[in-house]
Amino acid sequence: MADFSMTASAKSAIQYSGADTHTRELFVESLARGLDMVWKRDFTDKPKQGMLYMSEGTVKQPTAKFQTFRTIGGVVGQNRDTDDMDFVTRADGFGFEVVTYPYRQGIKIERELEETDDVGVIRGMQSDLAENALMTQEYAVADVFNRSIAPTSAPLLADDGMYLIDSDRPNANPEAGTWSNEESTSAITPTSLATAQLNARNTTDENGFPYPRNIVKLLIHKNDEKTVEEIMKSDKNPLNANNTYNTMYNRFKWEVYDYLTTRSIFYIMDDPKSEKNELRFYWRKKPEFKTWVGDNPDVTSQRVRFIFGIGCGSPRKVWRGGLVTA
Amino acid sequence: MASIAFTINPRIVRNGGPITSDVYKSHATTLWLKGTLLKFASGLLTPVVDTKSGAAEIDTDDTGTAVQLFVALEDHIVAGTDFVAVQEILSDTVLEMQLCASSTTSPATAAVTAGTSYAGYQLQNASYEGSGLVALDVDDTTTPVFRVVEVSSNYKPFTNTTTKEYAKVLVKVLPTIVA
Repeated sequence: MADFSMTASAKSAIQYSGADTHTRELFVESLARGLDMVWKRDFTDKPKQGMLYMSEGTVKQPTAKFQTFRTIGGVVGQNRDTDDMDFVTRADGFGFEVVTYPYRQGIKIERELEETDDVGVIRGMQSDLAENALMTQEYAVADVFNRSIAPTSAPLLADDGMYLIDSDRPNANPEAGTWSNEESTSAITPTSLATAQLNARNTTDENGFPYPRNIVKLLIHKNDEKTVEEIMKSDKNPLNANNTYNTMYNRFKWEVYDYLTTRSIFYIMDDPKSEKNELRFYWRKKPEFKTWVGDNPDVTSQRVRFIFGIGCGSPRKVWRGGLVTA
Repeated sequence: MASIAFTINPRIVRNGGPITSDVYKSHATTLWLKGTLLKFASGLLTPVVDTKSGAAEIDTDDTGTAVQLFVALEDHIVAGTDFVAVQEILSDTVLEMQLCASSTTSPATAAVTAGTSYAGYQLQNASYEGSGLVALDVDDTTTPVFRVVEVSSNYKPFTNTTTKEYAKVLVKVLPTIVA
């Protein structure tokens, strides 16, 4: 008689064998006879977003040093041809360092497992290592954004010594005062977005002269997707019943950053993949694989190795942001 | 308040010893699941369990000193003396372990110090003669078994911090135990 009245009963988790080598004992069930289908359940379709927000560069040494120098800046004074002329100078700007670190992970496979594996339990391990490498990058980049606004500590500082998003940022030109790319903590509203856009327009350059920027895209926490969609798709202000025009209607593109764990919003003001984005992912070695047989000819090893670091010059041209309240 | 919600056994990640399935025999009636820490009792493999009734700590009293320790690669859940697959833990073998706290509330990597030795804590498994999952007890440094080599916040700085993946350490078994 058919059983159409089953009740749920959680299965126990499947423990590892504890060994550092893939042996047939790891796959007792998968290698059993009489199965109709055996497959690797992978999750490689997870979003890979972080590198979309980074420009990329390469470095040769473990620690790379970068230095900027300033433009002359200012305007030209009125001066008759026969008068004495002013001569101006430019000077160093801020510099920064990027430290790169190596990452490695390997697998070992016993020959007997290779010989007896007729369902493919050892196939695709290189792609597993590649996926792990991608996820390492993903979490490394996410860490930058998650600890970028008023954090207790951060994985990197910009060249001015401040966090990626910060207020009272110094300018290299001592005449220029300070600037900010941090918005006040608030809920996302048409007003908060308008304020951010206004503040973007009020951006100044290193010499304190206007350097108006325009927000082109919002990078948001998943909890704010509904709010932002309502704001962007409503021609009337969705926060009141006054039928007032929603000035932010259809104004910006937006994107949910799925690895954002800090409730925050980032205002992207230019192409993050361009040179203008000085938040940069520096490769010293892109992921590479090597397969070898060591002392024991019946154990095959493979590893992935890559070396990278993340650094930031000035976020001025691309990044603004702020913490978000519910 | 204790925090002992760990989910996996120690795993060998570096310099594992030989793997064999036709050298060592199991004790007839002490049963275990794969991943269990094993030692010898009268020449037969048996789980390392707490010898003090009612306690859960895995310390030198339980492992012995100058002994061979193994990780079970397969279940031994039917009584009988059988050859079993194991991997030996050598003095330079590095295992990755989860953390727990038997008396405080913070089994975070910040609670352990590299170079310091700790006892283990066992979630006892009533079905298999007390063998069960073992984690490193951040609150117990008395008659220790595991010396911390590195903490995951250092060697795996970028990972999913919301899972137990984060609160792990690399350890070696003290050389006096696996001499």
